[in-house]
Amino acid sequence: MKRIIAVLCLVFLVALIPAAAFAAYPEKPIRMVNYVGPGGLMDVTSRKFVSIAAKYTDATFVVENKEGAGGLVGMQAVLEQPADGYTIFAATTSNIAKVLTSKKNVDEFIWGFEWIAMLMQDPECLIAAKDSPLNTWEAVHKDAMEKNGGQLWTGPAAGGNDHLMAMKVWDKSGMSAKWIPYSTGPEAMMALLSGQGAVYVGNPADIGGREGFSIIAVARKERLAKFPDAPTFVELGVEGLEEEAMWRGFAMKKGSPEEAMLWWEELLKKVAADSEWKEFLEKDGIDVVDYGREKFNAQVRKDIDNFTVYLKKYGLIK
Amino acid sequence: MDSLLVFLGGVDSFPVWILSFLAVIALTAFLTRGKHAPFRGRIIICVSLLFLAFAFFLLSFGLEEIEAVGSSARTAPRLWAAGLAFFTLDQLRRTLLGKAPEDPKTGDVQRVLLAAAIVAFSLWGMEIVGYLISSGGMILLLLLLFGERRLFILLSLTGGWMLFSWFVFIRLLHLSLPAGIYFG
Amino acid sequence: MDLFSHLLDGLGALMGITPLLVIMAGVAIGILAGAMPGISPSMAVALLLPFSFGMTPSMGLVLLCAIYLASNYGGSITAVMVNTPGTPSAVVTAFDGYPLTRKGDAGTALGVSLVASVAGGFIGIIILVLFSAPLARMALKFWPAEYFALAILGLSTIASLGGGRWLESFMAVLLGLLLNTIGLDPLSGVSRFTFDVVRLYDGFSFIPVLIGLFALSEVFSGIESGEVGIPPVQPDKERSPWPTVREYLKLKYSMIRAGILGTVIGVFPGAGGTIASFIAYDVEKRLSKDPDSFGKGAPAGVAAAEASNSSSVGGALVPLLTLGIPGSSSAAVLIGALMIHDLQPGPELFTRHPEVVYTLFSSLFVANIFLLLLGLLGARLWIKAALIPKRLLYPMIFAFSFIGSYAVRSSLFDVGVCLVFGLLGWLLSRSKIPVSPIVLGMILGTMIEKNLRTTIMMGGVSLFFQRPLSLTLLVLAFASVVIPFIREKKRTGGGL
Repeated sequence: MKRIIAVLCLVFLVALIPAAAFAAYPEKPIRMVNYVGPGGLMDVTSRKFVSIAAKYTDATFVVENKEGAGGLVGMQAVLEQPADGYTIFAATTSNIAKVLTSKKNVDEFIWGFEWIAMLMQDPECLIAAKDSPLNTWEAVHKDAMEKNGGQLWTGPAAGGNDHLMAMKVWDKSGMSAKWIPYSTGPEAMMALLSGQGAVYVGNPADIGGREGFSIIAVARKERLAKFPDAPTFVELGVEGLEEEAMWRGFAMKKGSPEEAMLWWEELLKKVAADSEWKEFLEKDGIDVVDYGREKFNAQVRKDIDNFTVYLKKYGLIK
Repeated sequence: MDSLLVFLGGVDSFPVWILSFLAVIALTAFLTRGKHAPFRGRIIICVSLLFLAFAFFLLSFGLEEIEAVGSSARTAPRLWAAGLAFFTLDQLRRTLLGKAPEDPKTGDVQRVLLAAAIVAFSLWGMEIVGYLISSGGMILLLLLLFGERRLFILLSLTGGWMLFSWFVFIRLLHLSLPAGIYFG
Repeated sequence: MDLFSHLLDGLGALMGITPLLVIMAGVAIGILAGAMPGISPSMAVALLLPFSFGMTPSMGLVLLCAIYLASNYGGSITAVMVNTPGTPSAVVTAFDGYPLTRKGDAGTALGVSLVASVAGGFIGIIILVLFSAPLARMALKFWPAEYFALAILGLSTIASLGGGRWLESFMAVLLGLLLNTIGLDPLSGVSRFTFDVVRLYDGFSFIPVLIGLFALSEVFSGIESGEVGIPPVQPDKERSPWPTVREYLKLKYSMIRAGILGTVIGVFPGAGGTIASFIAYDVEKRLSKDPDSFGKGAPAGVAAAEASNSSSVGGALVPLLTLGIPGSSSAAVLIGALMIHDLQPGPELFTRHPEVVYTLFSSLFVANIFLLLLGLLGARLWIKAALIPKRLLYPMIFAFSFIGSYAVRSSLFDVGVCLVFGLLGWLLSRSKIPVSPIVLGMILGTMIEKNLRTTIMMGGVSLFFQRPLSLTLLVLAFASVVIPFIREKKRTGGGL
């Protein structure tokens, strides 16, 4: 009996020794906070990333969903955690737009993070219903000019990334239209199919597996290999929309250990080069990237400037 | 006027709202002595709902209008607040005329409030001592409050819950429960 | 028949030890997860998502669908036993299930909810397999005007929810609608009544409110009335606690009607399943020879609620498979699962991977059978919960409510919300103000507001009356409030 107690004591003592004394990052599960529900785009991306990362690391990842307020709830939850590198925020371009439109403090909600790993650029595109008479950019543009602001465009929340894209298109092509927001992208696509609007703003992946849609314009320098029939804006005579994309990536609270950030940048390089990862994304016309801190932070800075201009121009912020 | 609305809708005005709500309730309780005493609970509920409707209506004027969206955020709250006020006023009228059911007999309200206080206390303690200890403590205190005195039951339920929640929620489901400042 | 040979192929793929074990495990996990307040069906599916990565796409999907199906039933167990609906759609099951348990007839409540669940599940799947194409076409006819009208129709059921207390029901539903406006405006993103607290930006989380209003308020009432000191009702030893086959058969039309309603309304993304259960309950109450028994422990009420709730699973899969649009939050997780397996949800699934689709269909049939078997086994266990003395049961309900509210967003704030709504529910039900309309108002608030405003943006109020479908639904809603009202007035001779 005494021996058992002695052994138990020993086990207890060993368990108490801070593991950090001899372990390097990561020594405990890394929590990946998602701002969308399970099954959402970023959630799927995070989970796929985790399953591929498992080839290169033994680290445990826990994908968590903290939904709400277009990411503000999730962002705040991460910012409330200690800056130890064990809580990651899984972000997309939409979060930047959300911080700006909800007039939250940019220094806190955006620059309270270190943007450590940008995974991809998903080109923005305009999608129309195949059977609709307005199934080419020319037709849409002509109709919009005739309706003079009365044309309806569908998509997710107002002030989000896709709405911003719509504003840019309207601005660059000299037209105007009305944005009808739906709860989710898929619901907006369903609305498009049922004839509620003329155009849906989204990404090429949106039409994968679904029938009745076609991409009428892509905001990219060249056509997509997977969708060779979809013209770029330049081909259609609209300049200035060659690099509009939604990025997805990971952010860590500012002040996290250098070691953790380096670890992530290295992991990203490995995952980005993985053939399964590439195939998973490229089949949807997504460009895989492996931006580390420097490039990612620059991208975020550029987005903030760019978004602010359009949000002001269309009166969403003052 | 605008700056007042901004203040009332901001985080700093919260104590003002709470205090004015409590004042209204106290006044109602005071005024409902005598003839209306059997309906006091119902009247207080009606007055609270009216207060709520009024507060939402007032605050709706401070909501930002974004022309670009083409739809006002103020419409729905005003509609619901007006509806709530309308039906509550009618209810209040009927209650004052004595047409509504009387308040139920008061039972062991003290114990209800104690139970709620224990839960609130455990919620507060969670950030300090962590989920496991705090929820175990809550169960123990509640059991004692409800008159359980057998030591074996007290300990096995409390311990059983702590083991169960550790295994299921922490080990199996990886819920990130508060660890508290001592164990974080 | 092409369809049947496909289905048989699918069934053949399931006839092995591994697939059957997967389905059984899925059903068992689903029941347990659904019975845990706070673990909604979509969370249960999401939690098991990682396990499906290692399986073949069909098996992964089979596992997740079994969980989805079973967790929808699991939510009814706690609804019936301790008045804690584990899912929003189980709210209606609690209306009559819990009163049955209080009367000492937990066996009937559990039995009917299980059998109705299974029956509804079968109806949903059959409709899914046979009529998914026409149903999808119908879903595409729905514009915001129709969604608004559907929500109003759902709201009109308060007329029967309050048990004749019109005024109180209206007050409660408007309170729910008003509280629902807290948070970011669904269209413009303007923050409303949040006092700049980010946690309130999404309003009150639904599950904590639900747990508070139903479970905690009931516990508080129990404490107040001194139930902690009273030993539980001992069941009659002479009589079997379970309903007889004849008693089940008596409910067959209720189940069929509710099952069809549940599937059809469940097709619509958003609140389909929950609205369906409210409407199905309302319909049964109106058709019943003894409408006054509803809310006091009518087996038909439990049957309607559970059958429609379970059949909505089949409904939610219709837009998923035909359009690639999730019909519910659980279906959204299924889409995620498909995507991780490199399968694109939507109509192409039928042409490119028919084996996945038909294995899925067949597995839902098999899962329903397992649900019946495991459910019967489990019910023998759950019924014992009715024998636990309240002074031991109540602390456990508090503990589960606590973790349940926390789990939704890992937020202690939500636990506080649950407690506050518990006290609110207790105070209101003391004064005979029903709490279920509050829940209905909070479920439907966003749907009503959003679609109302979207319709106005698209073409003005007149759109509601120009579109035949929305006009029909609105007239139906209007009639279902006004007709009983007038009838009541005639009977009692005036007064509200």
